[in-house]
Amino acid sequence: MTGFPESDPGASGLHARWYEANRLAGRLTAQRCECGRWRTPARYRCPGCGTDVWSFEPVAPVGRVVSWTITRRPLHFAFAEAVPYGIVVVVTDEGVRFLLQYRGDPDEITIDDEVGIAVDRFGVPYADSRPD
Amino acid sequence: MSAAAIVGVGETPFHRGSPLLPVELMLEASLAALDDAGLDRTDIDGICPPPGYTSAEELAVNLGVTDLAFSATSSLGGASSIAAIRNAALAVRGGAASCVLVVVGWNGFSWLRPREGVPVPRHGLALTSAQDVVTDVMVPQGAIGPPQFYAPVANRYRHTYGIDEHDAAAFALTMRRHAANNDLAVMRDRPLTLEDYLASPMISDPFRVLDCCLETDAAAAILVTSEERARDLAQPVVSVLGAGEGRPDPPDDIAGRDDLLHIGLHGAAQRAFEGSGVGVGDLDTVGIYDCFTYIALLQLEALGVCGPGEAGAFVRSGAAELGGALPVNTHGGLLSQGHVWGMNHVVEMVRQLRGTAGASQVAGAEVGAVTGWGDFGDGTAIVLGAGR
Repeated sequence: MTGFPESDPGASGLHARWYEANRLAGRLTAQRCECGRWRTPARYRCPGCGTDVWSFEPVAPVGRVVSWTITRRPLHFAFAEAVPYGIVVVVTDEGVRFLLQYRGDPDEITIDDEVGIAVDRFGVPYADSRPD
Repeated sequence: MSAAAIVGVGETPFHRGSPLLPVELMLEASLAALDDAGLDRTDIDGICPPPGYTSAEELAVNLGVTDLAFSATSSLGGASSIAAIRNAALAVRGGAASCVLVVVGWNGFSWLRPREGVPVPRHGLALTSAQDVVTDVMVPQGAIGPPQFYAPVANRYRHTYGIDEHDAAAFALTMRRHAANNDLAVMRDRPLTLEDYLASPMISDPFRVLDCCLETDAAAAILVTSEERARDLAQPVVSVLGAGEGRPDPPDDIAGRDDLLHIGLHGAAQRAFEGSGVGVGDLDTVGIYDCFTYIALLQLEALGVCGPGEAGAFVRSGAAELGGALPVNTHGGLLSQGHVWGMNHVVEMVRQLRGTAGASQVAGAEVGAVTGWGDFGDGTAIVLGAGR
């Protein structure tokens, strides 16, 4: 996987703070409410208890594949060099769910398999084959 | 919602490249709907425009509607058309308006293929109610457009029920056969074989080119008024028996859902049938928002036509064909007629229930349902009945 464009996601608001939290932690984080509920994407208030007291906390850098796709035709010129590339929906042990680019061999993606999760220098998370 | 009826339908040709702006196409379709109903422009006192391209005000001034009493726009992507009809029916029933124009239209072909001399609308499609999540969270992962957003839903569906490409192909081929009966269909003269389908390139697994709907420049319009008034107008009455909308949780992020296969239509269908006086077993034909083959199969199940995982076998059995147990998208659908946000499905259903669908007519059709799908799986459904 060489062609995936690595760049500042240019996010706003809570999403920008999430990438920054990932970057500072050097690993994937997710928003967690004081009531213990995880939430992603980041939200202003907890859909469970309704409060706005929360923090970004690290989650396990491993996820199980719930579903996937392999993009074979770029839908945007920025990804012209990246195809074919995988996208996976993963769930971590904590039950937190993410949609992530997959930087390993996309043809190896299998539902229920485990993948590793890391973050790049901009705090953008990605999945890869799990290191043995 | 028994007091509202659809009294006029209109559409433009389905263009693969029109020099007209979406608003011009919408005006053309609106005038066709008025003509169909035998109503005058000045009869309109409510307008439900789509989320983008135009406004109730722009439509009103160009139609000569000088005293607009009601307008509403819902933002559910492709599910907006039926949500708008529901808004119109509620307005008529509640007395907010007496005759509501519901119109959609766009330059779905031309905006991707800019050409010299073809004007670009200043206001485009209001993309999605989940725009911040798309821009900030999904695009950085390389997920940019609908094929990529919905592909994980389709692959989970395949994985869960053993649905495969032959199930999807059966749906695509059914749509193409239906298009052969329809003079308006973009693909009327383009027969499709299983070999063609299997040879079509993969865009974003499991979606091949031929799993994806057409890109079209077109508009379609309907007029809603009371059943009472409908009886005095030009066409046989088609009543709005029920309508509903629904959203998965969370509505703005697909990956975050516990169950990728629970879609907005599950709630929408239940709400549409509630109080309609009919059930899914009463349907003579259905319209399914076939943006992608697998997503159409999933909607057949969410509507209640098939049990979970059974839609593939249902379509492969021929049940969805004209002449089958429950013909689906007799006009050819988004896959083979053209794409005008599913309003073309409603137009076709109205013609079916009037008994004027020509070569596509389902004999004796009296009750039909149409679904909508949009954004991240928002759903709508409408149940229509031939007039009493």
